[in-house]
Order: sequence, then structure tokens, then C-alpha cells
Amino acid sequence: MIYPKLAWVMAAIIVLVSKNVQAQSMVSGHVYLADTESPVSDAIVQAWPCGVVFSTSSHGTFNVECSTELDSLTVISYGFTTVTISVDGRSLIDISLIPLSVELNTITISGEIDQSIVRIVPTSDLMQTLDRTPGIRSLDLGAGLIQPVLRGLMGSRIAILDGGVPIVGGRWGQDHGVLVDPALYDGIEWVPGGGHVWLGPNAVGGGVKFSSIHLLRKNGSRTQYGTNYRIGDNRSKVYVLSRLRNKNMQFHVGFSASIFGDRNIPQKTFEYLSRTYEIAGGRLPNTGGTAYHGLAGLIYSTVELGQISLDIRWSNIQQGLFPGIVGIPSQRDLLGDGNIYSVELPNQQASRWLLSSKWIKLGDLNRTFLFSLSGNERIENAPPHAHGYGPKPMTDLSLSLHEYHLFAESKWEGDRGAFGFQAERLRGTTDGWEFLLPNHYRDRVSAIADYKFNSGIFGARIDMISTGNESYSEPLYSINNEVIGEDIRATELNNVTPSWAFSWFQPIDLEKINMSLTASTYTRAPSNYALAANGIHHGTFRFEQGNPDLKPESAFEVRAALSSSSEKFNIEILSFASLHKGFIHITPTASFAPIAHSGQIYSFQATDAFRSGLEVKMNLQIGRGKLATTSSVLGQWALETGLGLPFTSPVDIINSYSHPIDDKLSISLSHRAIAPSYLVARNEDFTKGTSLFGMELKLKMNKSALRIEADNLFNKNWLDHISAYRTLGLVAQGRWVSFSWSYDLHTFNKN
Amino acid sequence: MKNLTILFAIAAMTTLFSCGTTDIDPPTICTENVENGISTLDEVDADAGTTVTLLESFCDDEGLGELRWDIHSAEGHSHEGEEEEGFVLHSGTDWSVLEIQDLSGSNDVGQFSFDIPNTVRGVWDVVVSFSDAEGNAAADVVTPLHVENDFIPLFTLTDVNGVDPASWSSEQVWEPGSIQTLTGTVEDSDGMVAAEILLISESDESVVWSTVLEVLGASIYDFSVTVEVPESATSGEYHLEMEAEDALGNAMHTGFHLEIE
Repeated sequence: MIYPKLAWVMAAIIVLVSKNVQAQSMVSGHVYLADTESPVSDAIVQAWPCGVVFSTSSHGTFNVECSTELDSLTVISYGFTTVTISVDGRSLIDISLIPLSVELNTITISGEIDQSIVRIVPTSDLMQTLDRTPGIRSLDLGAGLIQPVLRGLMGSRIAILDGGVPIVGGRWGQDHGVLVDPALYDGIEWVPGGGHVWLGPNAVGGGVKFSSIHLLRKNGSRTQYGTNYRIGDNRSKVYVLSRLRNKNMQFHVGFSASIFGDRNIPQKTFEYLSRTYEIAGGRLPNTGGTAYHGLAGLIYSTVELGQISLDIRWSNIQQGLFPGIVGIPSQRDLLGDGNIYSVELPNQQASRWLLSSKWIKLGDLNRTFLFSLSGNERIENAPPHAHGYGPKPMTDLSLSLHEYHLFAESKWEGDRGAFGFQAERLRGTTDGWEFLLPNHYRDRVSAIADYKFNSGIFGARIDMISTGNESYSEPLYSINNEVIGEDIRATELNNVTPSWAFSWFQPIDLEKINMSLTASTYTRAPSNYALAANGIHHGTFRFEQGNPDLKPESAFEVRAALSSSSEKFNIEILSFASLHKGFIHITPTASFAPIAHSGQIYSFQATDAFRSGLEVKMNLQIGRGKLATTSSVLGQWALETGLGLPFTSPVDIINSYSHPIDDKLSISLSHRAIAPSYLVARNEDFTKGTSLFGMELKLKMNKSALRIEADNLFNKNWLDHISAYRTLGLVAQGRWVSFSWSYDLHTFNKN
Repeated sequence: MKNLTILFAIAAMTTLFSCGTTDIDPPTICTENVENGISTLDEVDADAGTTVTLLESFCDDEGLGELRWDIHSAEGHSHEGEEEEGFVLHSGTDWSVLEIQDLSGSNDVGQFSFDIPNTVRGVWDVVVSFSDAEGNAAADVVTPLHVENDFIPLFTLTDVNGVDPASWSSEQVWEPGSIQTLTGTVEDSDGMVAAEILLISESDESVVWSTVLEVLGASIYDFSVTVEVPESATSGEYHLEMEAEDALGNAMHTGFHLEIE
């Protein structure tokens, strides 16, 4: 019986956490980012002269205890300058951190650093934001539908958190992008790898965390706004994010709107199911659209009550879908209508609303309670067509998916660890004439704990997951459109599955090198889609079939992080290796779909797999300039066959050189080399490597910044191996030039 | 630390070397000479109202999987390596056939017979897809199926605004209020009872212009009609529809796509 033992372990952790928080005389405070004022979690706070090391909580708070009188604190956080600050008798100290530059002095770190969190620098474009981060790639079907790919995994194999709330809404589809605008958040973090206990059981590839708007540190206001225009797909975007704090209350509101035209591509013909088509005017017709995102919220904070926040977020993206997505197009479908912004059939409308509330109460044990409710809608419209025999549908609604999701997390956090519970409840319904997935549900309850021992950090999570779906059938027609039977597409399913994750984080002290090792083992229950899909998936151009007999997969993963810096040079390396038993992935079968124009059947199968990868980031100061290099290497193999797993991104290296022209103006030249895709899955096409050049000119003034960026300067015709369009032989976006202006206005009351 | 690195490297190497190997070679068409059927490696010519038998021999080094015959109208697209068919007036383009057959062993024959309806004329694509037992899919083999038809009336367009449609390289674009001249013939050995030419908006299937051809009793009828594109025609996709019915009640619908700007 494993559960009683686990219960004892949990109880021991809770006792240890509680025991450790016996209060002494202390200095407390916050560590936050200087530019965004968002809290810095897991920063090391070392107290002097006693030398005792503490770390900040997920809210950036710390409580430092020392048996002797404190004279100063040193704060160290991965990726930021080290700060030493005098205590001067104060009991409350707030400390701001500035991102690390190459002009750092040598850092000596003597405590534990969570090197597993990577802060992502946002740009004006989500896809570019993701692609610039080593280990992350993005898969897209146009400017509005962008799907993060973390270490080769995507969809329901990664977690995308909006203020701590997992984003759902058909996350299993390559074409189902995440509905977020980075401009309306207080930062983005990437947590690479699987087995992170607080990210939930799906985060095999890790998670991307979009941070909620934080409370301003003083009374006053802060307004950020900006506009952007991109030559290429003629995208225009405006955004504004404003927050106003008066004493204990802060209101914040934000909105962004963008309109984008048909994607520009340097390609004249392409092939689909061996048919050859021409592309008119250098654009993929019907890929334009609009994206709107909104936010309204408030934060109320008092010492007695704690901090209560309420956020309402709303997103809506409407975008045309390239005609080839819903089947074999005719040449005339590809001629466009002369209006690059028009949205014709087929198209997709995706919307999301999220109501979330968080209560944070600081104390001996910091208490956090997060509750959210979200509605996620995805509608695909397509010209009515019947596959095989049967009447032509009467509407354009080919597929609709509604998912309602409830999430709650309760967390107690001490200086040495945390414990808590998560619960979520998802209800999904589908409709439309292109059946893909039946009505489904997924419920989860989890108990989670982590504890910081002197030698390392232990984390554990125990889940109980209930998944299932309704049955579904539709009439079976003869060649004369007469009903001759029933086509059963899904049978009722109800599964209850335990799941777990355990991890050990081990910092290793080496002279001038910061290093840590993490070992984790975890399981993952199959997704609703892997269990019950059975139909043509328009976004992936193939017939996808679930497998109700799938069992949870398990994995053992080892991660290593290493960083070192000197006056002129710094380097960060993240690596991982994981062995997966029964890794669930979609693979081609020997069978063809029983309906026309839908190709081979791809079914979900579980086979053992091995994945490994490396991400490197280096900065070198050369005179006044800076040379930066990032690189990602990824290998994923299905062990039974020795073949690659689908969408294994090839090695890529980005080199950029930035040079200040004067104090405010700087120029950057960049080069991105992508290797050929030597590691491919069965029937996956080999993709040639490519070499792309880019440029950026940045003028940074007091409160505003002007930026001109160019990507794919020579308008190179290249295939992106992990793009959904790769299947059609459609190249990635051609050259674009973007003009951005942003303004960040702080107004704080003097008193 | 050094020991840890070595241990990790050995574990990784062991895992990699323990990877299985698999068949990644797709199956092939292995015999070109077939009897009692038509190979899809050649173009297929057939008459409406007849039965056609396609036959092919397939090979795989490990084991064959499935075979799919997909026959669909070639209107609106072309295939890689396929010769340009030029301007074709198709009829009965809704007709399509789909057949999936199991293959087994390392060498197997796929045979498929189908009836061509009396209502179709033009060019169809025969797409042969086949896989092996591991799921390796071969590149589709695509062969044109030319269908002649003696049942339904035959329209022939000799010129549109003085230009032979066979020389068209792109979609026709007409302007609202413009005059377009169509010259051609319509014929049927059984004699015809009705014929009409229509301009139809594809957005709502509404007829924006039409004219009746006086074909009653004729077995061949030369026509030269003037299409008056209405000033009120909205920009969009249209279809020039040509319809005729013979004395035996066999009706045909053909035409071509155009755009009004």
C-alpha cells in the first residue's frame, strides 16, 4: 500500500515546515524587479554577519533571522545583479533587482538558487518572444494562433499558466494557440522540464507562466502604452495597460487590439496530397484576422486582511484559415479577394474569459488562495462539405468546442517550504458536422508539498484524476445518401487514475560556477483527446484517432543547470535527459481514413521514449558592444523504433551583436542558423537547414522607447520544421519590418 | 562531480544504443505489367456507363499494409508532374469513388472495379495511396482518368471574347456592366430539347443573367451569345453555367468559374 506511506511523508513535511517557522527577531521585506515591480521568487537572501541564507517566497517576500545583530543583506537571484544593502536598524526592507548585464562583477553564490526558472523578455510579438528563448519554439497558423513548444512538447503536454491558472480550451490542437497578449501581463517565466510539482501533472515539457498584474509599491499610477506596425503581414497593434493605486486599493485596466493581414511568404507554388497549387501575390490567402484582449482588475491590500485581487480577462481572436487546412483546396480558393484583412471561410474564432481571484496573507506561513473560473470557446467554420457519402451539411459550423474550467489552489508557504492543494474541473462540449471529439470532462485534485533541506529541495505531488467522455455516433450513409447504419465514433469512457510527481533539487557548490541538479519522476494521465479523438483534424491535415485503452505514462528526468560569470563574459547552460515509459504520442498507422480527403489515420500510441536536450546562453562584452549567443539542441526518440518523436525541433543558434551608437541609441545585428532536421518521425519530411539575418535599431528615451526591427532580412524561402504549415510544404513568413513605440509613465505621490 | 558526469553519459549512451531499429522504407509499386486490368502507371481512358478495372502490384521489404483508391474530379487543381490538361468542360464533378483494401505479405495485388455513371465527362484523378504494416506511406501515385460520354449533350466553347479558352492561363475576371461574347456548339446525337447559359453568383446561387438556346430538335447547334454582366453584379466569385437536355432526358451541367470585380 503506497498511499499510507505517502501520507506519512506528507505529514512529516508539513510538521517540518511548521516547525521551522518559529519566529525570532527578524528583518522582512520584498524583492522585486526594478523595471516591472513584479516580485522575484526564489532569490537568495543572505544575512550578515551571521551568513545564514534564506530565500524569497513566490510573492517575493522574505523573513531573515539571525542570532546576532544584522548589519546588511545580500540578495542574489539568477539572471540579476547582486545587491548588498545595509539594514540600518530597519525591520522592513524592500529591495529591487536589475537584470544581469555583462558588466557584472564576479558573483559568488553560497546558497540555493532555483536555476530552473527562466525569465522571458517580452517583445511586441508573442511568437518572436517565444522563439528568442532557447528551448522554446512556437508553432503557428497565423499571427493570431500561436502555440508554444517547450523542449519539443506542446499542447496538453505543457502548462501555460495565466496568473497561476492553467489555460485550457482545446490545448491538444497544434492549431489551437494560446489566447494571451504579453503586453497585458507583468512578466513571463519559463519553467523547463517535467516533474515540477506546482505546475500540475501535464507539464512534461515544463510551463510558461504569465504573471498577473502586481500591486504598485506606492500610491500613484503607472500607464504603459504602445503601438506597433509591421510591414510584411501589415499588422497594426495598439495596447494600453494602466494601474492606479490609492492607499490600500489598486485598480488596473488594459486593452490591446491588433489587425493583421494575410501572411507574406516568399513562395509561388506548394503541394498538398501531391497536388500542385499556385500562390498568388506572395501571400497565404485568408490568414488575416483580428485579436482583442482585455483586462480589468483590482487589488485590495491591508496588513490585517492581506492582499485580495480580482481579475477579469477576456480575449477574442478571429482569423481566416488557409483554405488547405480543411481539405483539398481548388486553385481558385487560393487567389485571395484582394483584401488582405478580410476573413472568409474557412475561419476560426477563439475566445476566452477568465475570472480569477487571489488572496494572499503574509504571516509565519504565507497563505495563498487562488480561485478561477474560465470559459473557452473555439469555433471553426468551413464551406459545408461531406466526406464520403452523406448529405451536405446545412451550416458552416464544422467544429465548435466549449470548455468551462474551474481551478482552485490553496497554498501555505514557509521559509523552508510549502504545501497546498489544487483542484480543477473541466467540462467540454463539442458540436458541428466535422466530428473530432465527444463531450468530455476532466477533474483533478492534488496535494502538493516542497521542503528546503539544508542540502536541497524535495517536492512531491499526489493527484487523483478523473477523465471521461460521452459516446457519439452518427448515421452511416450509402452512395445514394440513404442511411444504412450507425457510425460509432466514440464510446462512453470513465477513468479514475492516480498520478504523482517527486523531485529533488540539489545545488552544487563549485568555485565560480553555479550548478544544480534536479531529479524528478512523475506520471501523466492521458488527455481526453488522446483517449477519444476520432475524426479529421482540420488544423493538422490528418485523421486523428484516440485510444481509450491508454494508460498513464511515467518518466524519470534529470536536469542540470550551470552558470558562470566574469567581468566580460557570462554563460548559462540548462540540460535535461528523460526516460519515458509508455510515452503517448500520435503516430501514423497502416490504415487509411474511411472518408475521402483525409489521408492516413494517425493514432495515439504509447511507446517508450528518450528525450534529451541542451540550452546555452552566452554573453561576451567586446569593447562597448555585446555579443550574445543562444542555442538549443534537442533529441527525442521512440525507443521501439529508434525514430524521432514528431516535431522534434532541429538545432538552432542565434548570434547577435549589439553596439551602442550613443547613450540612447543602439543597433543590433543578428543571425539565426537552423540545422537540418536529421531526427524525424515516421513519414515526417526532412527539412533543410537555413540561415536568417535580422536587425534592430533601438532608441531608448526617458520614459519611452522606439524600436525598428527586421526579421528574415533577405526574404529567405525556408521551411519551419515544427510549423503546422510544414506538412503542406508552405514556407515560414518572409521578411517583415516592425516599427514599435512604447511609453511607460510612472506617477507616484511624493508622500 | 566527475563521477556523476561519467555515470550520466554512460546512462545516456546505454539508452540510445538500446533503441530499436525499424522499417522506414515505404512500399513500392513493383510490377508494371498487369493483366486483366489497367495499371495506374499509365493514363486511363474510359467511357461513361462502362466498368473500369484498375490493377496494381505492390511490394514491401517487411510487410504491406493498406491500399486506398481515391477517384475524384480533377477540376480546380493539378498534381505534381501531371501534364496540363488545359481547358476542360467537366460534367458531373460530384462523382467520386473511395475504396480501401487490405494488402498483405511482401508482394500483393490490388484490384478495383468501378462503374462510371452516365452523367460524367471530363478528367478525374485516380490517386493510389498505399502503406506498409509499420505505417510508412508511399508517395501517392496520381493518374488522370479521361472520361468520354455519349449519353449527355456536349458543349464546346471555341472562343470567349475572341480568345480560345484552351489558351487561358488564369481565372477569367469580368467587370460589372461589361459585354462578353461566347461562341461554341452544343450537340447530342439523340437530339436536344433544351439548352441554357446562365451566370450564377456562387455566394447565394442566384442567377444574375441567363439566355435560352433554341436547340429544340437539333442534334448540333452553333451558338454565339452575348453575356451582359449586370451593372449591379457585386464583386465576387461566379460560375458561367451551361446546361442542356437531350430527347432521352439526359441532362448535363458544365461551365467555368470566373470572378467579377
